[in-house]
Amino acid sequence: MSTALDFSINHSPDFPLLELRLAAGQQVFAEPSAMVTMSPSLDMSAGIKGGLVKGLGRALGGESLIVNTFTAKAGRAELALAPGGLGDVMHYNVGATGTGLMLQSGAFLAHGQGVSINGKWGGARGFFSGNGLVMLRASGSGDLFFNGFGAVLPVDVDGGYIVDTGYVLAFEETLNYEVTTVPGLRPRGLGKLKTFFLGGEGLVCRFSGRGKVWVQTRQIGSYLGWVYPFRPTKNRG
Amino acid sequence: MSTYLGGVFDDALPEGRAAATITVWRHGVEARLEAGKVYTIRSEVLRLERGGSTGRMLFIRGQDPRLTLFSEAPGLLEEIGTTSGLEARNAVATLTAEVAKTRRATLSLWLIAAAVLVVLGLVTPPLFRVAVDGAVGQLPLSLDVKLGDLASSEITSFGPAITDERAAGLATEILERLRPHLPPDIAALDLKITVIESAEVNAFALPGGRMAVLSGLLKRADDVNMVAAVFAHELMHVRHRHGIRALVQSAGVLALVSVVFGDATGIVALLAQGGVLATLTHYGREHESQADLDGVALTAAAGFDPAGMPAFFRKLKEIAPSSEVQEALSWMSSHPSHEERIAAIEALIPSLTRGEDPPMNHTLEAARAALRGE
Ligand SMILES: [Zn+2]
Repeated sequence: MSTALDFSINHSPDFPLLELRLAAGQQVFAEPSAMVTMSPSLDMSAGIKGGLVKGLGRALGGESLIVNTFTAKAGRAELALAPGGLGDVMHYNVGATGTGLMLQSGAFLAHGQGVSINGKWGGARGFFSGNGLVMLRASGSGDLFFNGFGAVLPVDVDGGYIVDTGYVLAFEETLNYEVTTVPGLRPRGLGKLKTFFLGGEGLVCRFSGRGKVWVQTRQIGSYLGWVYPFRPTKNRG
Repeated sequence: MSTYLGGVFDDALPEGRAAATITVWRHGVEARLEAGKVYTIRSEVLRLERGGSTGRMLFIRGQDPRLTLFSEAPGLLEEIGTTSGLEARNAVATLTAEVAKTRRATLSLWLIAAAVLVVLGLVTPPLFRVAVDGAVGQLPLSLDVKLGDLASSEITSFGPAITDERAAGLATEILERLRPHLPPDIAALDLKITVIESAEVNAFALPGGRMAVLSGLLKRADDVNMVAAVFAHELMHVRHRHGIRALVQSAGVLALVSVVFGDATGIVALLAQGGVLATLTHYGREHESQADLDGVALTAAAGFDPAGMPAFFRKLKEIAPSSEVQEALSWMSSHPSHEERIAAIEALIPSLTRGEDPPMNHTLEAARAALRGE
């Protein structure tokens, strides 16, 4: 599409900043509070993009109901965006390979014109992955920016690939996936229950077919578990 | 003739794939890249497959194993079936039959799953209970603590914590008097109680021993024995691990379904995703009577008057109808004060030996004054 965005992602992977240079008339849609800096000539409006139903779908996918729209009304303008968490920002050209992209909930940062983001019922698969029941689906054609936790590795899958559910950030729709226990590690009976409770260890996403998977190198749940003992505690009255 | 948006996998392409526009002809299926390159898979060698993340992606292959066309566009399969050559039509028919077969198989899996749930949940509840008991026995007590921590943030949703020593100190003193009479592993837990400012007559304990009492209960209770009765009852939910039991009961079904079918159904997952606090503090009738009977024994052992428990239940019954604050009696709504329940407690009391009753450092009167802001 002719509306391709001029962008650069700097300071990756820890503290990335997405810098966009918009031509007159170009629009960027970003999650609220992602804006770091912007040209004064840039017009910003908040709204429920794509109507309430789509908005609710996004909300179920862990994103805000509201999407901020930035429009370069008066000529060229610059915009810098940052994700809320600590992790790299990735660019994906939706439609360039003929397939949509599935994103873990909360991974959306921004997109250009021509892309639409919907909540997609992930069923129990999403539930087990610890990311809620709804995933996000990006379709259409145009630029998409999403963020992970830690560094993000794009992996070309051809055949089969296994990723721990907590580390799956995004994947192309040409891939089949299934959430199962680690092969060979399948515990029997009560052992299964035990594993299920004690941290969701042993649940993996098994991909098959062909397409790209984006793997993040940190998992929010494990990270919170690591930080938890250091939290300040209140004195009891 | 229509065109469909999709793509091509071809190892010769820079990224190994590219977007393409797909057209169906009599002689085969054609994919045209934006760059102009055209791929054709002839009708007589055409193989079709459904898959992808959504299960709706159509993959089209021919003799060359490195070449695959794909599209999720609706209508493409139908057009291949009507437009292209006889061999392609056979491929469509084969795929359609396969899809129908998978659908039937999925449906029968659903039916089996439903049957298994019915059998487990309804026809043989004792068996299910044994399974739950076994599972809970396998889980360490530290898990109760973790779960309690998870839900503890919801405690403050009832209101702000009261730190006045007269109220907080009374609650803690009662708890500490009960503690030594609990089994050692439970007594060793980090038992804590918070007084929350709220008109509700309520108290609850989370797995792992974090407790809360709402100030409405302290205002309504006649004496310390009534307060101790409620605390003891709640502590027995902790001791018997009723919260985690409730969770295993709902999640156990989920785990079972996933073991049997590899992937549980979304509906079951939804059921399990209810409010954490609600799941952890909503107990069955059996758990309640267990908490009553063991709780009243606990109050007696700790030197409180065991008559405080039936008296408190009576009091709830008596204020409920005359009061407009029906919802304020929320402990009662989750703990219906049936006559039989009171009778069961009273039947037990004569057999209990009451422990020593040392004078309290804190009084209910002083705590009430603190709550009134005096
Ligand atoms: Zn109870």
